[in-house]
Amino acid sequence: MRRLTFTYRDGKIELVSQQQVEMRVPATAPAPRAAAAAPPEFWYELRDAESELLYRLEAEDPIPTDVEVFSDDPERTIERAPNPPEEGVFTVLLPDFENAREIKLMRAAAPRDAKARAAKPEVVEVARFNLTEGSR
Amino acid sequence: MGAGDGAIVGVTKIVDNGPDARRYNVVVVGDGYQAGQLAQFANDAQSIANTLAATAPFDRLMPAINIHRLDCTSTDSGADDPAACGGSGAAPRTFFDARFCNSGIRRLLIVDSARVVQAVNAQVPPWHAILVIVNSNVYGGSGGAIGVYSLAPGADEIALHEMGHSAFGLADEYDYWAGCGVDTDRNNHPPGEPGQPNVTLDSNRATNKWRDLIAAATPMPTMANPDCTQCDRRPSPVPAGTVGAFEGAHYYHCGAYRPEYDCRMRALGQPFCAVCERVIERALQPFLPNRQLVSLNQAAWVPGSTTYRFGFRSIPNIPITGEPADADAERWAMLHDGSVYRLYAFKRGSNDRIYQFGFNGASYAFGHRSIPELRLIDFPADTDASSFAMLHDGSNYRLYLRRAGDPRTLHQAAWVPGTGTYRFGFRSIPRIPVTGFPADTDWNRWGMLHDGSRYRFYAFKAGTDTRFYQGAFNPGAGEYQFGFQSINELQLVGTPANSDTREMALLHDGANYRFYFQTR
Repeated sequence: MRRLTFTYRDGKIELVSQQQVEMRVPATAPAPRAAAAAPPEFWYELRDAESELLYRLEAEDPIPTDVEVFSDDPERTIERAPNPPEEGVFTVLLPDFENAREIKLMRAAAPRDAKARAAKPEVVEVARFNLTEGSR
Repeated sequence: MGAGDGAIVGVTKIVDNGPDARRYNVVVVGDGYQAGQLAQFANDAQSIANTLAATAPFDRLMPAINIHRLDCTSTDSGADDPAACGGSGAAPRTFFDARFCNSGIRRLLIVDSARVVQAVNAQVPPWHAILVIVNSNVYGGSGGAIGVYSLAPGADEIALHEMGHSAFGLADEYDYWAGCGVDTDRNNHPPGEPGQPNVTLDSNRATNKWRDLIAAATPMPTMANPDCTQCDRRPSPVPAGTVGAFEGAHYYHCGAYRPEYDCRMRALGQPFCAVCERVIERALQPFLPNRQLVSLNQAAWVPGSTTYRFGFRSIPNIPITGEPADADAERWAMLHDGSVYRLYAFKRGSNDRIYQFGFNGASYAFGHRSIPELRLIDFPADTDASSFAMLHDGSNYRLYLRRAGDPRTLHQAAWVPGTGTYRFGFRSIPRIPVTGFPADTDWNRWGMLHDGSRYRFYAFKAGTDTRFYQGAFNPGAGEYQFGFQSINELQLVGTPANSDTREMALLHDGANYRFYFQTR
């Protein structure tokens, strides 16, 4: 497997390390992709030198827009709050394909406004990194 | 505060259930512990290990899990606790810069997560989950890429909830966002079925995603919220533990359902619901060790086809008998030497001892017509002993390991006649490349054989248990090449349901190409 480690700060993402690692990965739950299913909110695309898709991995959006807050009050042990920390880290484990040249981070940007949520999400490329030369 | 305010001391494996490459690896990191407090950190790390071992479903999955303790010292003890949030005003210098009062919320305790991940990447590369214990008695914690919690009573629940998110992809099951009575825009869940396995918009018994866990007598929906402007805080109408569809989940009062009335993904201090337990169990299945060598399911190649069929020209299932208690059932290989079918397994905990079994007509019996225990010597330090293959080429017994971090380089050894030893490089090309295999080759599941004319290499196609790739040694190139003198892709047919598909072995007995799975 290949572990990619990214950091983000003020909306800018950097690929800070790549690591080849011998390990197993958890089995994934059966994906309930019914017709009414919401599109994935975030995914990774591993591509070769000709930009052919080698592998795609759906994931939770690694850059939070809110934050979970915990309490020892038994009546409200968890709640959410806006304004998460503006910097952080995330990692992803991908197959270690020798012909992989590029990783794309993609997001289906669902409108945050509740009234507009029925609209089709816009797919945006969040970041793209050349795995042999660094980021761009 | 930060890197200059402490140091990494080292890693200790406090729960060891086998090779890291085959287990789910949890790393427990400490911050705000001075050098003289590392014994306390060891106790705190052991405490979360004990909590995990006592928490369903991890209690029955612990053989799948290794837990590592990363000892780090800090210049000062504790965590930043700014007075602006009502804290003590303390500002200790700690290695990972733990601090309360983030986003203006005192209980929101975070660390420099990038530095934590960098340290764990270096110290325990095959990690799956990271938990950071902050040496403070103030209640707090946070989630995200890593779970962070303090030493306050009950704060370790934060770690379990956050593992539900980050490690197993579980959704929050609570029915509010900022809080019941606080939210004004959380009445009805928007359209679109959530991707997570433990929340749904579907309360239909016939189509609900956890319908197989719902008893016929359980009403559906099991509980409906009569006032979507509010959280529904009525008691459950069914006994605790009943799986159904309870309205109010995924941050909304109505329109989304959770599997049980309560769950750790809804409120800290509650057990995981049955659906969440099942998700965790499934996720950890690949990490569970085989407990013992029981038997083999056997297939053979159907000549003229691209198919190996189970039971074809084969005894369908062959017992394994007399195995030593410490035989490692996850690291095994087979060969036929022209006379005897042989099975080999590593001695558990060892990278240089293997046990040998021989087929006696009824079973693979330990030591039958065999040197019971063999030794591997002179392998280079960068050898990966997490799996191996063997073959007999008519002259020599050969054993193959691979280069650590590079499954495309074989390390070859051969048996030294008259001894109990396989020596790296003996009568062998020491290192042999494997080239040209497809990008979706599953390098964790591989095998080799010699068929009287060719040395062959096999590996599964990733994501399938029924298709595998073939290559052969090209003497002119000095490497194993995908498709060389080979059918590129082969198919397994009729795999018995009790087959353990995590490893494979192959051999050629002079008449047939044979394929084996162990049974579960």
